[in-house]
Amino acid sequence: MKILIVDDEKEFAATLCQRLTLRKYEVKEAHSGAEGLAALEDSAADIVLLDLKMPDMDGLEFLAVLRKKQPQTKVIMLTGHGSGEAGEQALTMGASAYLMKPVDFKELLTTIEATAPA
Amino acid sequence: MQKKSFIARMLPDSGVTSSAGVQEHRYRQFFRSFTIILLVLVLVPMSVIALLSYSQYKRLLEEEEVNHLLLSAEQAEDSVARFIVKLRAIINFAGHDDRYHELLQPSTLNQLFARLQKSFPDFTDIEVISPAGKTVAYQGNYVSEPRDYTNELWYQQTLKSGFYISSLFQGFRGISHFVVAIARKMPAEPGKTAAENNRYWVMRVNIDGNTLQRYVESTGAIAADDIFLIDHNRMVQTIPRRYGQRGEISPYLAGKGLNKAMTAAVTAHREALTSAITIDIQHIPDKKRGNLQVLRATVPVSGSPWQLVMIKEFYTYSPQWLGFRNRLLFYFICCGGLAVMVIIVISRAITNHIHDNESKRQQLLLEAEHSDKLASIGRLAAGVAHEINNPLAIISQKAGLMEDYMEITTDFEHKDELAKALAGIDQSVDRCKTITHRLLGFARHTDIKGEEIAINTLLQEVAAFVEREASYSQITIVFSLADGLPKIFSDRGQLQQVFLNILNNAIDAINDKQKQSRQQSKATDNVDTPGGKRGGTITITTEEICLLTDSKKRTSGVLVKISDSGTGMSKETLKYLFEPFYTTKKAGKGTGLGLSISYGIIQKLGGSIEVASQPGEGAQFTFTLPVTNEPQTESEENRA
Repeated sequence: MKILIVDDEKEFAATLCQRLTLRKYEVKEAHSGAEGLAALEDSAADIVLLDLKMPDMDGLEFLAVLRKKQPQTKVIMLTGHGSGEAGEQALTMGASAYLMKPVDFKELLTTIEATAPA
Repeated sequence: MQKKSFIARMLPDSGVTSSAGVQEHRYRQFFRSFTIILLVLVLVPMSVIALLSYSQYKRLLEEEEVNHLLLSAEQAEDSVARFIVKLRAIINFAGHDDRYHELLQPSTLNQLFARLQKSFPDFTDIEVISPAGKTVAYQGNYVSEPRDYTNELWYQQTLKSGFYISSLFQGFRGISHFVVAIARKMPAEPGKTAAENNRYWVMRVNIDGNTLQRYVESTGAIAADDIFLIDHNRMVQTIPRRYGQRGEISPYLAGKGLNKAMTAAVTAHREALTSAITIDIQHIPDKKRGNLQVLRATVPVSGSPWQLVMIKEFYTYSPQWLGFRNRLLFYFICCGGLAVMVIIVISRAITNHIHDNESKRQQLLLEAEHSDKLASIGRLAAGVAHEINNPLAIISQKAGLMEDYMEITTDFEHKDELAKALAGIDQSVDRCKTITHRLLGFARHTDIKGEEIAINTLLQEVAAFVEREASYSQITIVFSLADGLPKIFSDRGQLQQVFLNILNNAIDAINDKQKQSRQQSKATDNVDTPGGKRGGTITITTEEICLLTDSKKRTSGVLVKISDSGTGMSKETLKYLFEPFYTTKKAGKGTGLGLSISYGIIQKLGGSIEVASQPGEGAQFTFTLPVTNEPQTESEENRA
C-alpha cells in the first residue's frame, strides 16, 4: 500500500515515515502542500496522511485540489488542536477520517487499515 | 487640564478609581446642589409673584383709600359750608338794615327771637348793639347786663368785614356756644352829612355749640372713623368720637407725607376738587393696637373760621386687607412647603437613580473585565497548547519508533530498562496530551453537538454517576426540580462534564469539612464521636427563567442551582475560581482546569455561571442556560 505523509513538521513526518515503513508500507513524505501535490503527480498514493495546518497551503485546500485531481486517493486528516471542527469539515469534503495530534500510533494503524481500499 | 462643563462638574464622578467614601460624598454634594438649584428655580418666581400681587393690591387699596377720603371730606365740608351760608342768610334777613329802631322795641325783638327759635331752636339769644358799641336791646335765654363792646376784637372785626363768626367757646354761663354777628348801616337821618350817616349797628346772635356737633356728625359719619372741626388755633370745636376732646388743642400736627401711590391719587383728584384739601398720615398711640396709623384729611370750611378734620384708620387694619394678607401668606407657605418637599423627594429619587445605575454599570464593567481576562487567558492557553502539541507528537512518535526498533532487535544489555523508560515517556506524553486537550477545551475549541435535552433528566443521570461516591461519605443529594421545564437545545456531553465537575467538587468540599470537624473533635478529645460529624447535603434546584440575549431580546431559559454544605470558599478563592491552573486541592489531586473548562463550556453554550460562597457556609453555583442556543461563530484563528 502506498502512503504519502504531508506535514510541515519534518521530524514528525520523518519519524512517522520510518515507523510505517517498518510495518511494510510504501511511504513517501512531503513537507508542504505543493510538494505533496507534486509527489502525487509523480506517483499516485493509496492514502494521504494530511496535516491541517501548513505554511503554504491549508490542509482543506489541499484536500479540495486532491479530490478534483485524484478522487480515488483516500485522505486521513491529522489536526493539531483539540477541536474536531476542522476535522468534521474535512470529512464533509471527502476525507475518510481525522485524528487528533499527538496521534496514537495504534489508532493510526487501525484507521489506515480501515480506510485502505480492499 | 480639561475644563469640565457646569453640569459635568455637578454630576457625581463616574470614575471607577474613586473610593466608596469619595463617591458617597460626591452623591451627597450632587443631591445638595440639585436641590438648591430646583428650590431657587421654584421659590424665587413664586416669591416674586407673591410680592408683586401683595404690592399691587396694597397700591390699589391705598389709592382707593385716598380717593374715598377726599370725596368724603369734600362732601362734609360742602355740607358744613351750606349750613353756614344758611345761618348767615337767616341772620341777614333778621337784621335788616332799617329795622334798627324797630328792634329796639322789646316786643318786636321778642317776636323775631320766637320766629328764629322756631326754625332754629339752637339760637340762644339775640342782642342789638348801638353804633356806640353798647347793648341797646337783648332777648334770650340768659339775663344779660348791658355791656360796652367797643374794645372787643370780635366787634371791631364785625364792623370791619360786616360779618363775624366766632370759634366755639365756653361762655361765662358754662355752655359751649359760638357767636355770629353782622354789622348794619344805620338808617340815614335827614340833615346829617354822609360821613355822619355812615354809622353801623350790630346784631349779635349766640348759637348753641351742639348745633355744629349735630351737623358735623350727620355728614360723612359713615365714610370716616372720625370727623370734627377745629379752629385756626387747632382748638377742637366739636366732640370727636375718638381722636381728641372738644375745647382742647388738637394734638396732631402735620404728619408724615403720603407715599407715591397716595400722592398720585391726590394729584389726580386735585383738579376736580373745589376746596383745598390736604391729606397726611398720622401715627396715633392706641392702647389696644399700639401705634395706630391713620389718614387725616383737613379742609377749611369756606365762610367760617373752621377747618374740617376727617380721620380714617389705615386700610391695613381693615378685615379685607388682613384677610388678603393672611390668605396670601397661607398659600405661599403651603405652596412653598409642598414645593420643598416635592423637590427633596425628586432630588433624592434622581440621585438614587444615578447612584444605582452607576453601581450597576461599574458592576458590569468589573464582570466584563473578569470575563475578558478569562478569555485572554484562554487564548494564551490555547496558543501554548497548540504549540506544545506538535513537539509532543514528535516525542510520541520518536518514542514509538524506538519501541518499534526494540521489538525487532535481539536482546541486549539493559533492554528491559530501556523499554520501561520508553513506556514512561509514553505515559508522560499521554499526561501532557490530556492537559493540552483540556486547555484547548477551556479556550472553546471544542465542538457543540446540539440536541434537545431535558435538563432534569440530565441532572439525575449525572447525579447517578456520583451517587456511590457520595454514599461513602453519607452525603444526600436532594432534588428540587421544577415540573414542565422547556427542553433546551445544547450539548449533552459537555453539560454532563460541567455538572459532574461541580458535583465532584461539592463532594470534595463536604469531605474536607468532615475532615476538619474530625480534626477539631480530636483536638478537643471528644471520644464519643470519633468519626467526627459525617454527612452533608447537595441540593440541586431547577426553574424556568427569562433571559435577555445580547440583542436585548427576551428568551426563556433554565436556571440550575447546585449548592453544597461543604467548606465554602474565601473571597480570595472566588476571585481566581475560574482561572486555569488555580486549585485549592492538594498537589496531584487537581489540575486546576475543571472549573475553567466548565466556564468555557457554559459560555460557549450561551449560558452563565455564578458562585456564591462564604468560608464554612458551603457554596452555591448558579447556572443559566438558554432554551435555544445559537452557536457562536468561530473566529478565523480557531479554524486553522
